[in-house]
Amino acid sequence: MKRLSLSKDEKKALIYLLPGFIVTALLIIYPLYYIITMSFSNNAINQSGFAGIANYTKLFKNPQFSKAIVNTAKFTGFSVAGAYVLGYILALAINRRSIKLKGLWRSLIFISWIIPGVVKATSWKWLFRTDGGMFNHLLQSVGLISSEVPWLTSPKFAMWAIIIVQIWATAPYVMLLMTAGLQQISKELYESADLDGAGFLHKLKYITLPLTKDITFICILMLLVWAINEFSLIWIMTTGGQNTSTLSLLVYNQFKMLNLNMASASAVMQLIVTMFFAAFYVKLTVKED
Amino acid sequence: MNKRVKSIISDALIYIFLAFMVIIILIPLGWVLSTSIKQEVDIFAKPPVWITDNPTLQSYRDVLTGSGIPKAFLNSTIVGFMTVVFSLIFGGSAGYAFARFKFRGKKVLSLYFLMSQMLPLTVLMIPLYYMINDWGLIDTKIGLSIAHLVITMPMVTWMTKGYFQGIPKEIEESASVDGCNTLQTLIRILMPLLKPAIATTGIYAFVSSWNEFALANVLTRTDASRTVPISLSEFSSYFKVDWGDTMAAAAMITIPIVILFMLVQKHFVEGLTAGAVKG
Amino acid sequence: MKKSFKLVALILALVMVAGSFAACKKNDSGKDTADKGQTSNEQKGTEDSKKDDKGSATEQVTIEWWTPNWDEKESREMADEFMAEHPNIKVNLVITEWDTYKNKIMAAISTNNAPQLYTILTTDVAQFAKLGLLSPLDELGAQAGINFDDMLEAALDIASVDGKIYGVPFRHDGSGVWYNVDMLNQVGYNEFPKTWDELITMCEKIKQAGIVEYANAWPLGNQPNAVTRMVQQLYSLGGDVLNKDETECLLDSPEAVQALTNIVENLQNGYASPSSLEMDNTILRDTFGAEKLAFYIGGPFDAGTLESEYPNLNFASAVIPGKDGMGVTTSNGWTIAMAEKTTNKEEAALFLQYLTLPENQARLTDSFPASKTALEYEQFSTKYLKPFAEQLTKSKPEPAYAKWPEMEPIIFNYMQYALSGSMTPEEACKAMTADINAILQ
Repeated sequence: MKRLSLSKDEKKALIYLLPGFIVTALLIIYPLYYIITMSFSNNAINQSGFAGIANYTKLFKNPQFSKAIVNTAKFTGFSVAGAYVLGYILALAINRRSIKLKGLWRSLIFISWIIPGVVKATSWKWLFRTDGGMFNHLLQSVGLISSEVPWLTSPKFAMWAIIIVQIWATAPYVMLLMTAGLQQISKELYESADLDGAGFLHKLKYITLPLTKDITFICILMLLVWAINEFSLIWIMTTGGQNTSTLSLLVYNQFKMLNLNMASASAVMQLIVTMFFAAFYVKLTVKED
Repeated sequence: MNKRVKSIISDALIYIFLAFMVIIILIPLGWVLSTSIKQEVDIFAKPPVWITDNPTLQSYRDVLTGSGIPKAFLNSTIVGFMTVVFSLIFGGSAGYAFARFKFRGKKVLSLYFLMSQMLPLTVLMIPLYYMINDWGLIDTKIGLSIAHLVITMPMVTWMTKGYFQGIPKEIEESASVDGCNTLQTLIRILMPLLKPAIATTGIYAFVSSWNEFALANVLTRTDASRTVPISLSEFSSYFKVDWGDTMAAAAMITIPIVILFMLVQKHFVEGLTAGAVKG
Repeated sequence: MKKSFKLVALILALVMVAGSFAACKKNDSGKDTADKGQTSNEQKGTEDSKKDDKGSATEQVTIEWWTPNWDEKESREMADEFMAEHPNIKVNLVITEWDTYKNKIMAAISTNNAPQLYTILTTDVAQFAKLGLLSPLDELGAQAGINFDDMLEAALDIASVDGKIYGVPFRHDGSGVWYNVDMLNQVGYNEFPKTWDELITMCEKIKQAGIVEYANAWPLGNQPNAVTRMVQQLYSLGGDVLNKDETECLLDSPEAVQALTNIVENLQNGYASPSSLEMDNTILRDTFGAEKLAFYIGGPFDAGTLESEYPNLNFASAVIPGKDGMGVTTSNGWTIAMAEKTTNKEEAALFLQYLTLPENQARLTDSFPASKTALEYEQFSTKYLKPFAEQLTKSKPEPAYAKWPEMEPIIFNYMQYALSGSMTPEEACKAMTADINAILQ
């Protein structure tokens, strides 16, 4: 085997790939190596003294960690489900043949995705004020609530408030991907179904959903990863208080507490959880190559 | 019931639903704008009102003359442009390689580029901080734009890969028959075809950098490099809680992004979906 | 052909630049673990050679001080004065913010070649020092002329670890009560109640009279502010957070349950504003200033703002009511500390000495200075500040346990459960004790 001999294509590819590869290696692989070493060190600051898995066993015993896991699961589960369902409905609505100004609807809805995360969080924080807050006022004026709800200041509601914002912020992305997916379904399929007299739900079940399966998976995995990694939204709205501390917030707050051993161990845990889902995403996306 | 009437009714219902959703989408931004033009006394009015009787631009004046926002605006623009240039050079050439060449390890490498898009920034934050500090680039615009490559590079690679794949290989092949080498083809033939795509990818990178908070929060120290999200988050901290000013600043950093997006929204949407739909 | 070659060359050049950065990093960290002193000398060397390149003759050294935004104006003045006196030293300021200062300082101070000086909470000194990130100042400070004998022992104690001083305190204070004189007069009070029970009676009278919607409020929207109030109640009742050797949490004691109950009932009985849950100390002060509250527990540093921003407000201060008389306040303050892994320490110590001179402490503090000489100044014995000075005689330092940064969010979290009614104070105290015991092991 002439292992080192490169084909003509490979030589060219190498030139084009190398710069990008080196930059990402420097900015991504090296930091990952660094944080993993830190998590196995006695003194994380100097990365000195091999601690084995001591930092991890300590982390697992810490009640804050199990709470962060539960919170991450809750935030991720509900926000992904909500954003997916809402985004899909929006996509179906916009994709309906008789609906006009498709581009306009799409870009208006897309605004909540495009605005800076800090603005998202700050504006919702301002909407969610308990006393004289606009969100409470709107709900009261349509009769959904009778007394003011302390959205961000009670452990009962804070997580739900943040989930609402995450759905609001990510549903447009689902809408976008799904409209693209729906447009790829050939019209003839629907036309022949119409001839058979199939209803909307029938078509949804037997044509639309199966044919958008792949893009659905990609979309959901993307949402999952974003939700697990979401930081600025929660940080600005509650700083992880009111029982809203997810893994991201735990890492940041441990770092703030000068607890680098714990911070690096929780970071590695977050990495493992993220990469678990990312692996599925990659498997789906790359299979064509 | 008549089929046509039925379809008109369901169309109407869909329009109502879409209009309702657009309202919900726009409520926070609307509330930001509404608060930003209120007098200080009206901001905490109970019940809250959407349209104030005494609008004022005082908050905007405060933000423009007495805050770090104008400087942060400049910083964000410069950091954004540098990020765009770096990620187009590095990510664009990688995207081209993925689209055009057959090579061993292609699968592994594309795995690597895809996975890196999903890394939690809170995980990378600490080591990146130490690294950028060792390079002496803490609190510099160039340091921050290098760090922002973490979030832009993978997606730019992926988007440009999609664009290059969209151009028939035959165009390039005919060019190479004419005696152009690969790079000449890239510059003379492909670039003009890809102008909108490059613009879209660039804007994607720019917006990502403009919006990024977690890294900028630790990598900046002073107004030499502080970007708009950081500047805004400092509005609502310890000693000043001026919601009017905060909202005026929020409006000012959001509107350019929304306008930029509206200008290129068609291409932008195509670019974002290209990677995911075509694979 | 040439064109394409240029492009490849450009890309390769960029890659090599990036690569050389990586190489730099490795060398640095290697040297650092091998010999810290050598690294700092070498770094100094490279800095000097840089200056030579520019052809400048003066050997100016640069030091950096991270100071909070509420001290910005005075900090800039003092830096300018110091630079005028020492033309060879250039002082750069980095302005920090309350919400993020600790994260940012943590990140900065743990790097090689860290910035030199930081204004931090006195109770944070021990945590940084135990990680080996602060320079001991006993010798360095004495050489620069810092007079540690003039500093309040209470403050210096918090800033010391194992008998070594790791920071120079310049501000030291505790809490007290601010009240609206007119509102209290309306319900027949000429002075503030002395005990907690009398305080509750007064709250009821204010509520009945209806002169103001809520008698008081608490800063329960902000973690450190809220936990401080709870700990003050606990200290006033004679309880403590941990046992002596910091192995067991005492927050399930009857005193702790009572402390939390005091705050929870104050809200549930409609005396304290429900907006308390969104307030921090600043919003609380502004609400009081706008005459929407009859009193609140706050700091001496509010005097200036209340006086200047609310000229029509008729207000006074008092000590905190406890079980049978004056309660106990927590005390804390602000300290300037120096990084361990840094350069130009002598110059930084000189600047530190200047900043903590009695007259400069008096300028820099928003409440009381930590210098005994400065404390005698007239500006610290006004009618507003006197009760705060009296209250300081019954004070206990804020918790500075090694695990405190991890404990504080736990306490705050369960306080929120109790305040929202999802848990009784007993349940909340039991749960926080269990969680804290888990991390103490």
